[in-house]
Amino acid sequence: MAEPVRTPPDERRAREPRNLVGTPFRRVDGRAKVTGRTLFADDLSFPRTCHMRLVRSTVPHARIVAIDLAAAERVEGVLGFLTGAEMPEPFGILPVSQDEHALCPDKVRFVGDPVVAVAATTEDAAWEAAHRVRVEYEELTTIASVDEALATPEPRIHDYGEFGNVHKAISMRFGDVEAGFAASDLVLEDTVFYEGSTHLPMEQHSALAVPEDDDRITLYSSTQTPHYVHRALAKVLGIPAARIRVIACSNGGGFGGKSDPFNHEIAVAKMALKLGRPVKVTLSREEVFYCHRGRHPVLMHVKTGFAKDGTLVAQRLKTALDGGAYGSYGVASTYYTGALQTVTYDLPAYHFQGARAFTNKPPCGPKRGHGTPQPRSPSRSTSTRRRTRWASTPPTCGCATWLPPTA
Amino acid sequence: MTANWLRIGSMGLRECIEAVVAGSGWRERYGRLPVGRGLGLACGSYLCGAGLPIYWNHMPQSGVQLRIDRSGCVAVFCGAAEIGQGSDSVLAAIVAEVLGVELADLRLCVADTDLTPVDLGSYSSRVTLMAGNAAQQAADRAREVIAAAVGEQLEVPAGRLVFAERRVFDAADPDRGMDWVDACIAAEARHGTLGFVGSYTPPRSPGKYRGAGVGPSPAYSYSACVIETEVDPETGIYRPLHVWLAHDVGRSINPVLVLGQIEGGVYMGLGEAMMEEQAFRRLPPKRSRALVHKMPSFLEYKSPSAHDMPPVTSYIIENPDPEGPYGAKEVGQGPLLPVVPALANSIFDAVGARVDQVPIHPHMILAALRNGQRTGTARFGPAAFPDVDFGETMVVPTPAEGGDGKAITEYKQKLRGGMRGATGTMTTREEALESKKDLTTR
Repeated sequence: MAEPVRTPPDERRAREPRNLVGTPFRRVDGRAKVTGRTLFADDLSFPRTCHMRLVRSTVPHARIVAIDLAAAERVEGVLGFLTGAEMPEPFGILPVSQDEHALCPDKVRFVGDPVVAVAATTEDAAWEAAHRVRVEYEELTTIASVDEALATPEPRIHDYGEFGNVHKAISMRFGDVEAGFAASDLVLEDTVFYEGSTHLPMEQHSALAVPEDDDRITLYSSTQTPHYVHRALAKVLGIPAARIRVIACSNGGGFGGKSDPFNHEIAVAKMALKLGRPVKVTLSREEVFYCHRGRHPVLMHVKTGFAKDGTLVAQRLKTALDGGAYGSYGVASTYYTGALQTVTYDLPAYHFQGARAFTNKPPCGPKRGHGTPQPRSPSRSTSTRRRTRWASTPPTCGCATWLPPTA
Repeated sequence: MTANWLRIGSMGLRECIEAVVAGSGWRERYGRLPVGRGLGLACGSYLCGAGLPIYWNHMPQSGVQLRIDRSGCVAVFCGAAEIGQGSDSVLAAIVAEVLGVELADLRLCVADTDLTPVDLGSYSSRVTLMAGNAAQQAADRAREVIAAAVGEQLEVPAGRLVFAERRVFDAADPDRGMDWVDACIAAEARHGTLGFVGSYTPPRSPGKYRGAGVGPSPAYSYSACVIETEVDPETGIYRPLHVWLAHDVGRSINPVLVLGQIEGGVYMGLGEAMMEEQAFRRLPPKRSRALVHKMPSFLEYKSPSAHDMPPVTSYIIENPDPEGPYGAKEVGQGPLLPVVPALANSIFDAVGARVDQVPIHPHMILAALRNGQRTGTARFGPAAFPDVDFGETMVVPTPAEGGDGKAITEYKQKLRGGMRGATGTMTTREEALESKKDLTTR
């Protein structure tokens, strides 16, 4: 492979901006946004656009036994339905966790998991029909927390993963941590819990699919990652990527919550192909809370050894993540709860152990900081405790121990 | 180089801490405030884009194309998505800076998989550094071609030409030059249709162990935060009074956008520290016992209002990073990180209560104080960490131990319950091939 062309770093660093860079210029999209001219995904409409709703699971963990569309079909204006059987190919943001379906084919894994898509000429008719879809479930044990996931290896929420309902387990050690603790002048331990939270973007997720000639399709969506949506659509729809066009509209906030390919994006594209007309779906605020992909709730235990001069000697960090019902970015999130502990203060020996459990809740994923805010809490709390024990420590805490910049 | 083989470039953490310590009067005030008032300090660091793409490939992480013609219009094509963070403005400013034109001379076309070159997306704080570098490379190439044509016409060495104020002129004799539109005409006449590309691929990471793909980044941003908080020891009700936050952004492309991200990060961090909870409850048995969200609405999901938001003093630390365009690093995510522990530390300083749990509710502070009276340890938080089987430990010698970035223990794929263990994210080609069916877009 040829090496990519790169401007030598020194040359870039030496270059001083002259005009714009570094000045408080007006943002290029600013005026359109403050005057309301920016078109977000839900603002778009094309001739003959119809509306789609997803029928979502009302139970947290169950097998789908039967779906009854009869009452829904009688609603005036209903144009068509989709079920999981029509999109059997799984998808997911990470290659190692292709565990989602556009619509659940056989099993639901959290309240809010989509089962049926319905399209109608008006949004009201689509809502009405969605309410009349009857799904019969055979319920399975609900797993609500990491503790329950550890104690309940069966039934498994997914048939892949580390073992039981543990999705991913990691243990990696850099340097001799035990010797470090033995040589430390002070060893502190903390157990800390960081609750999950969601992104709360002002704009709900919205997508509009427009079928075109020659089996081509265009999807407008409020997504942070059009490229990954493009790949997921090609995979699930079974259409060459060259015939799919994804356009990311201006997002009304994302914060990580629009970084996964979503069920509604794929289902709305399939529906548009099936009906041969533009189809739009805009999630309700409640659905956005259930789509989630936000901050993982993480329980942490950190043990840190310090030397008398205030420098760090060794650290062991354990994290347990409540991942929710699907993989999403979770494997990466699990690594991220440990990966960046070393980049602020110099830490010569480090042992990281992390595990992510599947539970019957909306899937967690990346939110601003992606996995790294949680371990910042115990590590800085630990420094403060250290400071209060040693009055002689310099007032700016651990500043004595800098990572020297590498050349 | 860190123990886990991350290569650190520029680091402005010291300047960040010095800024918030000076701004908050930490040295004079810490430990000397009356009971019920406290200061808390914390710091953090974040990536400027993940070093590896989500799926294994040898292609760039970001691409930019420029199309220029005789009208003087510069069309900028890039796959990056504008999510409110200002990615369009960053791309535009870099191109306009290199070519010496105004923002109004540019037309942006972004995030369209039919028309724009691939950029992996607006996540991982990657756009300013990665798409910014791609834009800079494309604009540099455009400048070189235009300079050659202009230099020929003006009989000035191309290397002496300056691009600024919609003109291309001789640095030695500024009156000798032509305006931007004429320069484009000269270039189109000399070279034919004008199209330029730029791309960015991050440097290779030195870590070669399984899992080494998560953590490396072309550069790391740094932040430090001091929060002053008032706590009522009778009720546990508290209120952050002021936040000082310094962020090492390398160089600001637009300082107003940097300040906006810092304040947004403080806001979101305070929300997580004080009140936001994605929490669940079971419905009563007669209503199916389903596990549902406690408060899936804007009304009930508590997030700070304007009333809750304290004043914020922001400090932009500029220490250009050799990997960033004009030295720029990220600011989208980093400033959130130190806010949560800084708040917890300020409550500890105010009343001596250590709450090892977020969000911190007033009842937790009261419970910690009560525990302090009873047991001598004024703490509230989880009691123990569960017994988790993390599997076999992979041992990686550190750079200081003379390691080569590889693990010395064979990290075996675990076979449990007949199921093969999930692999890590893509760190090596071999690993990627294990799940090769997902490697390419069909």
